[in-house]
Amino acid sequence: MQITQSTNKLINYKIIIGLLVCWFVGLFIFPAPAEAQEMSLSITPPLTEIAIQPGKVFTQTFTVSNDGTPVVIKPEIVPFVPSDSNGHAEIIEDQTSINAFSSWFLFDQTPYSLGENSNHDFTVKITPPEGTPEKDYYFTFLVETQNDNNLGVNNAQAKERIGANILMNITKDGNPNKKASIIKFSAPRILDSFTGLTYTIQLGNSGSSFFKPSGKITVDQILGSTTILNLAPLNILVNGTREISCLESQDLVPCKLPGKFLIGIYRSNLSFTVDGAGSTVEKQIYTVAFPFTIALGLIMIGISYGFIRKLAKYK
Amino acid sequence: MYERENGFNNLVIGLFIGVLGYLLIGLLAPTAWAQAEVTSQNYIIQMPNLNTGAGLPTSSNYNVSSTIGQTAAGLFSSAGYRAKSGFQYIYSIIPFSFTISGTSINFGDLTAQVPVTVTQNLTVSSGGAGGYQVLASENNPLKVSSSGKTIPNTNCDTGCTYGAAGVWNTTSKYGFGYNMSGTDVPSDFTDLTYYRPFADRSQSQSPQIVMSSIYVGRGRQSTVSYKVNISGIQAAGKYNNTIMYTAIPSY
Repeated sequence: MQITQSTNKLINYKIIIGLLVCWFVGLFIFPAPAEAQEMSLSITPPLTEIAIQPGKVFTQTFTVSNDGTPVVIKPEIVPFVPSDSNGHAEIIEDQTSINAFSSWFLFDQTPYSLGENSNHDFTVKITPPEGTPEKDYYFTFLVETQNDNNLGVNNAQAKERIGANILMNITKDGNPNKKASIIKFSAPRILDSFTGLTYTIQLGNSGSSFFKPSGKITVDQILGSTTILNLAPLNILVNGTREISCLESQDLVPCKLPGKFLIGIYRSNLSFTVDGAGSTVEKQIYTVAFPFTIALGLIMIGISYGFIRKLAKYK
Repeated sequence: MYERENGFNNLVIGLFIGVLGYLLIGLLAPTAWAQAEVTSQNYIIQMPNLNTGAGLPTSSNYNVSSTIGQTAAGLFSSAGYRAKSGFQYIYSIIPFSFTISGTSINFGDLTAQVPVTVTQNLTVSSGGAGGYQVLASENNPLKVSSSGKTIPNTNCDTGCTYGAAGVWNTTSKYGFGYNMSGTDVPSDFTDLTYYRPFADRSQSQSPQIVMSSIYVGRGRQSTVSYKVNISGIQAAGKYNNTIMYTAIPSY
């Protein structure tokens, strides 16, 4: 009996060990399907603004972080032009344009292997040469993944590039001419009380350097309260225009008067200065809010009531 | 007398407990300053106040050693230049980041008139100056590198271009194209039946916007649906190409 129990125990051990060996071997022979390899890069700072004299040296460090699969990245700097009035950049990638500014930037362009959850600092020494005309120059610092498509299957290989913008004003005296204009400041003249009051603001730059508006919209309800909407300090590039949003708790939001029910006359005053200095640029508009939907409803009720009364009299 | 002594003892005990409690709270309570990591549902920042690193401008005759990024303005002036960098205006704590959910879009074995669709996610978090755009282009149409045979870019059912989407439902219309759905995608992708061919850089076509926003965003996500449909006379081979996605923050 004891022998039988011992034999059973031995068999049990053998089964357990056998299962463990199978599991261990199975790990290597039948690997779990590989997770999709994710590419995830981030860059900081996303924006650098410089006013610099020709011949001077300025150094900026861009940190690129990798939160995805290991990648090889390669940096480059290309010029850009504004592509619309919303602050989007159109990078210029023809080699002639890139080469025209290659002597301005000194940085290590060797491809760099960036592991998972790691980062790398790219130090860029910026030197606009002596004699560079005094005006604005805009660039984007780009890093590009270097993965090649050689999998030998029907596929498309995705490559990622991420950029950070550099706005540069070449100036000898540090005081470039900055000139702003209001291209558009509008809101409905008459609106229903239940429709929100939303403003459209478009500012222009006719000076020789980029700038940010520093200002607000002051909304006075005649015989009522005053509300202030802060303009977002967004860059407006030379000879360009930009739609300006408002700033609310660090977020860019549409410039809209809060409140669910508006009534009366609203005087809206847009005022701003260029980079927080100099004379104030202003424009004022008026809006009348009236509960048209309520009035229409009351009229409809009145007409229906009159009609019913007439009908009752007739009967 | 006894009561006074007792009261004194109680006072001493009370003070002792109070001091002990104060020390315990002081020692065990989380320190509010000198944070090594700040977390929230939306972000994690390692070392929120850096004294060196990205965004820190330096020059041969001027070296800044101050907090940078989200907590302090990087404004400085020095002989010959003036610079601002980082997030000082909006005080945003979101870096500009871009994620693609996979590196390879595998279509498998292709069969004539059986369209294959594969999806991939694009995710953008734009802090700083606010707003962003993502552009897409291909190096060339899907091609067998050894023979140069290609699967042409789609023309959709009744026509589409790399800048304007069109309906592509018919299995007798062949080619390679993509659809965009989700957040911040171009409006011409009306629904999942609308496709465009990629802008072909070998034909000097400009990369096209596939995601765009003027507002600061956290985790804006879209889905790219790649579609391939081949005819019965498509030459055999392994077809591939490279799709370049470029994410640029607004200025």
